[in-house]
Amino acid sequence: MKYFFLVISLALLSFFFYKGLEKDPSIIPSNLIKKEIPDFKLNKTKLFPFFEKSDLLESKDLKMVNFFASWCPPCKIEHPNLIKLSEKFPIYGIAKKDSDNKIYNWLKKSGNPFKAIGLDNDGSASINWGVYGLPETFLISGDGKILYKHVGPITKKDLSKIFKILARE
Amino acid sequence: MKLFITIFFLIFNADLSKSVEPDEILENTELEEIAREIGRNLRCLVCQNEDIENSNADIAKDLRLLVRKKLTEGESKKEIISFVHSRYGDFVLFSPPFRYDTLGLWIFPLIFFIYLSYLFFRRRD
Amino acid sequence: MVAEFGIYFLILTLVFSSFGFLQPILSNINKNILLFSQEKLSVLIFTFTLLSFFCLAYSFIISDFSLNVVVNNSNTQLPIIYKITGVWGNHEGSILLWLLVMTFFGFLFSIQNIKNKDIKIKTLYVQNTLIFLIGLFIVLTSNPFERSFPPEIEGSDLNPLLQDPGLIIHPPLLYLGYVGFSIVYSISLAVLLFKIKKDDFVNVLRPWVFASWTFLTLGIGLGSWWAYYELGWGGFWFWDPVENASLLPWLTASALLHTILISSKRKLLLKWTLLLSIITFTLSLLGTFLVRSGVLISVHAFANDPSRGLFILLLLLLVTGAGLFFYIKSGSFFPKKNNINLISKEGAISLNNIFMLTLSFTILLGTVYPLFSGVIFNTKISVGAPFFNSILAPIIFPLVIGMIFGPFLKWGNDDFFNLINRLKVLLFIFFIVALFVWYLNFGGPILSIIFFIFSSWIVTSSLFEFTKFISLKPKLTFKKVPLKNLSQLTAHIGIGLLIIGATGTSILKKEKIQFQDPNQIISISKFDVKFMGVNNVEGPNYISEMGEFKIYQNGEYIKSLYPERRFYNSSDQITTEAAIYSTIFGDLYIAIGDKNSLNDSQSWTTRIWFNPFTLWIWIGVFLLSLGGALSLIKTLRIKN
Repeated sequence: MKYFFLVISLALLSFFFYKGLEKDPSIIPSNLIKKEIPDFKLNKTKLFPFFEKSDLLESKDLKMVNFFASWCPPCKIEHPNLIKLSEKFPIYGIAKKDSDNKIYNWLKKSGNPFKAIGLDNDGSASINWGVYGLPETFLISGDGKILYKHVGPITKKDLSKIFKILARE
Repeated sequence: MKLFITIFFLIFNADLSKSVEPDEILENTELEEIAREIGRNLRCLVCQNEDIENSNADIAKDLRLLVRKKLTEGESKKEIISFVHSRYGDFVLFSPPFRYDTLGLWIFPLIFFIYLSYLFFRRRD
Repeated sequence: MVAEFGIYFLILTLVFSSFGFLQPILSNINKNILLFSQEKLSVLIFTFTLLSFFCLAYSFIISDFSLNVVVNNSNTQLPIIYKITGVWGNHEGSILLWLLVMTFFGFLFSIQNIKNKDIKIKTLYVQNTLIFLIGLFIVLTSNPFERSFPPEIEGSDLNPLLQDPGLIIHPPLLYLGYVGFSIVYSISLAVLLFKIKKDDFVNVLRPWVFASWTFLTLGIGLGSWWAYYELGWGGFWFWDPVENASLLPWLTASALLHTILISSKRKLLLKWTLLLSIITFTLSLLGTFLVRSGVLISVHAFANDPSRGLFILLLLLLVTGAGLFFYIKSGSFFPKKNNINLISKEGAISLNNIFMLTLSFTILLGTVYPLFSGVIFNTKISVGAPFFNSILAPIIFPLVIGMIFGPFLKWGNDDFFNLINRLKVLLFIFFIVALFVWYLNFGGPILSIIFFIFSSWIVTSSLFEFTKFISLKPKLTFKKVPLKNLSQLTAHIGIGLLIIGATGTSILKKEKIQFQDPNQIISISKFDVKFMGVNNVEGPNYISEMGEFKIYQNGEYIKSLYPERRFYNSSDQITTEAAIYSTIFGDLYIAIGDKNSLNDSQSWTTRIWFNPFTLWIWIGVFLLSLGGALSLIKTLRIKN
């Protein structure tokens, strides 16, 4: 009986630790999945079309919201993939603590995947969306619900993951 | 992927010394005290196990400012914490919510204590 | 070339330590086979590990950038002392240091004069097997002598946070503590495995428990001190998983220290002593697993590698499994003695054990719970300081009460009213002390007053017991004071001071954060702090912004403090070097931040804290380890 207890508890413990080894502790799941998109307020840019929450709710197609900044190096890594994605559905960009000119210069050079861009100057929109780093990307369904959140740059591997989710919808 | 995340965290983790900045502090010392209390209960999401009061990361600063803004607008400690909780999930709370999946945190020590006391002081005749 | 020797010596260590388990297996087949005596083996193993360690240290000193560890953790600009400490500022080197300490303890044990030869040989079987396992771990997953190809010209840097005097001795001391318990484990497993039915194993165990506990105490204290002045937050304990991991074996070992008193004096709880020994080393290993596998998020990020995690997990499973299996298998081979009464010295020590272990269990649970709940419920929760602080208080109070009254209780059976009657004078003194403390802290936070009262009770009761003991023996000279009383006195007073310091630093700290102009004076507590400006100073491998502050008290100049921010050239990292003026009433703690960027003024962000009684924490830790050391001397004296 005692041996049984010992074996079971050790097996359980090692199972947990083993499972723990597989997980990456730095990835934090979003608390907004399957919920409606949160309220947020953005500032207008001078050079790009603007959008608000109502714009995201109006169009009944899939869309993406991408949090980025021209000063964020990983954002540049995902940029070509964003452009590829923008051929499939509209991407709305939220630039965190950034300026018109810097965004313009960057997008002029490397292409503009965004249908519209808003500025999040004080970071409050980012907090409302539960964003904790840049870049972060949300996939939003036709009825305005958040389907999927991606943290960090979207790589080629991640593209296929996103297309899989699209196929399901 | 892991590499990218590491790089991305490194950028935000260069300087440990920065925490609450002088221009963030509220004039009202009572509210500031509450803000600290809230801050100590919120975890910086990109750091290694630091609360937002003691963290230099961008997100920690934004959260500190948000907490103070909401406090001056008259929101209570409970409301603010539950707002941040609703956005970032359980991970952001340093003291876990009392729930079915966290019950063990309080129950197991109690069971352990009772069993141990029994082991030591039971009567063997 | 030297690196090749290093790995060669490591393999020799591996070969010789394998006789730890080969010998008993072979002699089971044929009794006449004796390949090596275990004592001689231990000497050889230690020598080869030491040589291997020297090879690595040499590679660091000459900056041999053909080695991966050197490239990643050293740099030509690095001062020589940090080149050497860089050896253990990384995973591979520190685990080699771990092995070195383990073989060192094996060596010490092998030359110790132990009457019971049976225990000695069999303990060395286990110890050498453990050495073999750790050695295998190094060779297979963490080889420090791995070449980088092609060789680099310049290394990246040693993490600047680790370029610090505190970090020179913190890891070795901590490892002396952690790994010292390997001998404690080996003795206990040998007793259980080979069914050595002599209760004198307790006497073999004792010095090793005291020695390891003393080192562990010093190691943890030093780490906490380092965090206090290096991280620039003015705190000393952050409930980080790594800190928790070091606290777990410390708590069980503290329980073990007390239990050993009962088991050697009253021959009670003998099996419990063995179990605690096994658990303590298991927890040391678990700490290693948690830190080095990357399963938890912690400030102490080592380069994480899942294959290492898997190996340590298997090792942990083997060590724990073997310990507990033979613990169960041995059944009740010590006679179950009479019951324990709550009101008696045994009762007090049992309570100490119950609460220490509950505390240890709760901290362990809190540390790994996020991992478990992630696997079971697929949630991601955090368990941090607010949780640990809230469970600490209800467990600390009964421990403290036990500490205050335990020493006055009689062995076997005592009576509560009789005790009260005996301690009338002390209780009266307690009342006066409480009033006095309350008066001194009038209007302060209730919690701090309660903690101060309790801790001053610990100090008074310890002193009271000691003076009573002395007064009973008028002819006693200082040299003849039994070390047992002296060690208990210092250790318990140490705890009292530690609680005072921790309470002051965490509850009563004062803080001023501002943009401070040159010549502006900020008043905090009794001090006036005048900011003189910032100079750029060049260090060996960094440039520093060094602030100058003049400290005045009652208008009188006391001294200048120079907090820094260092910008390390090769790694682009920034560290804070706080400047601290320590007095027995509290520390004046200054850290400097950025220059004010808003206007073109000359003001800088300055963070000034007054941390009451912080010095008492370090004095407390020192007294605790002094108490441990006195116990160690005492047990060694008995032997001879």
